Amino acid sequence: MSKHFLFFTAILLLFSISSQARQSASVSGYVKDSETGETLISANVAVLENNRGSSTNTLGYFTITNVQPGSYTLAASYIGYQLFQKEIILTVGENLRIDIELVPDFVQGEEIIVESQAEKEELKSIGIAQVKTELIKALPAIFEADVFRSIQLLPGVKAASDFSSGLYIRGGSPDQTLILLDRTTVYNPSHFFGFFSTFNPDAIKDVRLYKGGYPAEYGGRLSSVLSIYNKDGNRNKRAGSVTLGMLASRASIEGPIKKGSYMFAFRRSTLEPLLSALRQNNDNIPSRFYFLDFNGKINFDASTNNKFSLAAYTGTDKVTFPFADDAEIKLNYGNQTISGNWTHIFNEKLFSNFVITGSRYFNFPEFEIAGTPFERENNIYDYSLKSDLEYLPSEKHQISTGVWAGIFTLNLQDRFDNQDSFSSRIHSRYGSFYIQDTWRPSDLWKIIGGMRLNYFSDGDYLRLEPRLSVEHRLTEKVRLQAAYGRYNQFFTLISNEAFSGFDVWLTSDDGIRPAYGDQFVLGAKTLPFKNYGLDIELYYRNMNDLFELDPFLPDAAGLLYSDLFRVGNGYAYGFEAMFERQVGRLNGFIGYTFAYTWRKFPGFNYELSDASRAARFYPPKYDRRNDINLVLNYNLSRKWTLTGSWSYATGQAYTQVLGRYALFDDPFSLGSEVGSFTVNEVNAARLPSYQRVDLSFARQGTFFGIGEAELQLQIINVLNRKNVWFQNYDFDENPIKITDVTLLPVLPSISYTVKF
Amino acid sequence: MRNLSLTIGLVLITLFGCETYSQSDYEEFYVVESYMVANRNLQQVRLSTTVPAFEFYDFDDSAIRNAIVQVRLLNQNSSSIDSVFNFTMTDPGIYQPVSTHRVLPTRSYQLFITIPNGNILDEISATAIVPDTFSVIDGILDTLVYQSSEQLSVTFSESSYPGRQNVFVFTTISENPIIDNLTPIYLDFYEDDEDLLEFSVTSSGLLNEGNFTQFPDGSVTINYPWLAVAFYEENRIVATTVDDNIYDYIRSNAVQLGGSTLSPGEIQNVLTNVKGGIGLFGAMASDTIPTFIKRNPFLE
Repeated sequence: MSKHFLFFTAILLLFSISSQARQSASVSGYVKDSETGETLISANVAVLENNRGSSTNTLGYFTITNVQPGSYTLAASYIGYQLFQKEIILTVGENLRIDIELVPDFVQGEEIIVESQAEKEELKSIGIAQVKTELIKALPAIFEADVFRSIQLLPGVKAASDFSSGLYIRGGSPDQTLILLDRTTVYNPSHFFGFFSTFNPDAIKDVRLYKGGYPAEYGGRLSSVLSIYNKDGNRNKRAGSVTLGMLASRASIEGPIKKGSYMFAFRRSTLEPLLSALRQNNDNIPSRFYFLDFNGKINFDASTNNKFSLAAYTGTDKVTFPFADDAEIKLNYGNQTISGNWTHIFNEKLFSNFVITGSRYFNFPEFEIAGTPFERENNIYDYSLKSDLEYLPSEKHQISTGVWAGIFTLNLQDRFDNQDSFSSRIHSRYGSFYIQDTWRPSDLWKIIGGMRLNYFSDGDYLRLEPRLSVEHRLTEKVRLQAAYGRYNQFFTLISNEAFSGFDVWLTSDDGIRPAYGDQFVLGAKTLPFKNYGLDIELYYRNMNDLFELDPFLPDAAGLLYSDLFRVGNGYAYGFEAMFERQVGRLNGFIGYTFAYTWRKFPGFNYELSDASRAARFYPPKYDRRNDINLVLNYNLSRKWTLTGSWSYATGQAYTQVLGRYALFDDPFSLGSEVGSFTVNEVNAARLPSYQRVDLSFARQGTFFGIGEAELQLQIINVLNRKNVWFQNYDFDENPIKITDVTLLPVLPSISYTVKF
Repeated sequence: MRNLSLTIGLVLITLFGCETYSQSDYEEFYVVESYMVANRNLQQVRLSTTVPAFEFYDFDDSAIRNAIVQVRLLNQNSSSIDSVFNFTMTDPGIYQPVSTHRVLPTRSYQLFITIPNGNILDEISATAIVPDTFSVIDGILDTLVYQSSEQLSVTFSESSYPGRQNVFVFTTISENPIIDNLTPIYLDFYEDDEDLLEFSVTSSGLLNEGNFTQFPDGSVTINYPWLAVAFYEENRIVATTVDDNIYDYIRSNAVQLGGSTLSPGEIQNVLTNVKGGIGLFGAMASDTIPTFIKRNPFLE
């Protein structure tokens, strides 16, 4: 009897659910810019009357399911756009497909708010920061607007120096951040020896940084993920821009094609006239020095449920520098990426995306000194397939799942004096699977639980990564968040902070385990006043089995692969706060970070008098205790805009030298004195604090009626502050002479942009 | 909101109040320097102390004058002492062997120093394994034309060092270092007020045997790069294999002030395998190739 009772109860329950499903309706579609047709990521969409809402995914698609039949107001909003509202009628079982077009709001008015409980869902989950491309272009920049330098202004993100665009995020080195362009990994995202990034702001639609606690959808790096999407291209009309700058110039064009769009953007340095003029009086000037890059994307909408796109990037830096009569350096490095994407909407509950990607990083430095050549061929090829599914079984659950599989090949070949001196070929297969559920048990709670499984064939490593984040709406204006994740990393980068032109990636293998770490994050997102946001986060992360090239290794020839590395560990923790106003005539943000980061490697940073040579934790150079960045944008008038940034940071870590001595009988220098220092704690001292103020004035106008124009005048380091980079020691002087090597002085810059 | 702020503040104080990493003061260390060269006589031992980094440095001022210095030949498995060679100070901080002894290849030697320091004796010790000897077996050219197609290619007999491949250093020593003899690249680097003797010795740095063509009998062939030649005319090319002590010292000293993957200003101590002090007690084996480098008329 009881079995029959249970059976019938189950049948009734299923019938009830399916009945409800059949009785309910749904609404889905894309949210786009009405002028350009570009999809908008993380736009808010809500059914006002029943407090049901959603936000668009990275392809601009939204779904709201299980809505009871009836009449409703469908509303959508996005910062910088006018509110969208439309009356809709949903019938039983109807799946309404409606693509929403938002009209740009060119007047910097008050924030338009969709008045619903669901709309007040913050765009950002814990640890996520989004950087608008308009801000990237508006910010004063060292000669060239740059994505990475803009990101360096966010709390939790540090820069090593004015010369480096490398991202040091929550105590991690740059190789701990996964850089994706249209879902394709980019291995060396820098131009001009690391001065700025390879991402052309004219080509970019969305920049999203997962600073920590990133979701199961991503993996492969210990610290963070930077996901950048290219524009799709204007689907309504042809448009373009040309920018002339002091370091580089850019041109872009985009427009509609039948059932789709295209976008092409090109950038090239324009230093040749300057170099030529300098060469008249100075020998130490490169004879050739340029960089260029190209972004392209073509979109094709085969049907309302099938979209295809093909995106490509290619960029290169080339330098030829004859630095002496019989000596020359040649550098040639860059990246190429390609991705083919297919988005398929099965139905209102099931959304899919398939990507095939290819990425190549190449680096071919050559030296020839006195007839002695040195050549390196360094190639990385990374080909992969990804598929992602989003499934909404009910209004309370959103299941995401996907796989990522690929082949990674690294070729590294050194030749010295026409003989092979080092050769390494790594050919690895890798794969990942993830599944994640976003569960909303009520309007007050959101729980995201996931699992990611990673495999790397070199060493046959299989690693499981649990992820969990919880969000609780404490009040209407306060949300509390917590996240945990385990992360693994199979790659390490050989680089130098001062110069990224010789970067080499290496992988884990037999005898070299992948690095792994845990991250814990607590956060609070608040809306203290209208149009203002205050975000606070605390984080702690550990890093284990950190493998990196032994810095004392003089020569790799003849050594086992595992002998090239030192393996250590580290940890980092900190507090971040960001107070921002996104709309209004005066807008901007101020960010503050208080943080520690530590590393320990065997045989490094031991006490000289300690016979056991026990290693001690030390802070790496990029450890800064306090870091403040203020960015303000003010519309002086309809034509003039002033953007300024103020950066202040307490001093970077450095090693204070304590004693000196010398060797006199060195058989390899025959009697020359070879001086050395003694130190105790590595990086226990602090350089003076860093401070820089940058200003940018932009004037809007027109260019002979052809289109809009913008003249941008910038001054970097307005105060001409001599920020110290490191100290230099001259052993030829006795006592030793110390000289401070400083960072950038005051630098003016001008650029002119025409949009048509 | 107030309670939340208070909670966050307490958490911060708890988390961040405890971490300390303070800078120590200067500490003085004994510094030793001595080299053992296979099949050559024992060489002098230098003994001094460090001085504070930004004070005037003079070896004589920091020399140790009252030490008892010995070099000990250890038995084949380094478990006991076969012979002891005493040293005596001849100049401040410089100790010479009292008797002659030809350094034996493949054997271990220990430097042992005691220094009276009040009521105690400070001890310094270091051990070095002498690499096996080797010699040139093929490829010597009496005369070479600079940057011609005929490059100095030399084959050395097998040498060995326990536990690892050989590590070489090649040094070019000019016998006639005058300004007219500078090769073009070094002439370009030379500035008028510089001492030419500083250019008279060029060194390759540490090179692993794996860079070179290796033969089944253990011999290796190297092509000597033109880059290493600073002066025309008579030159001596010294090929040296080094022990672990020299290897550790050179590789760490080369990057102490920057280079490799270390950030500018991230300075670490030089790797010294000396107990009770720092410095270098190293061993090596070497062979010398004389040659004459002629000017290349196509480069002049």
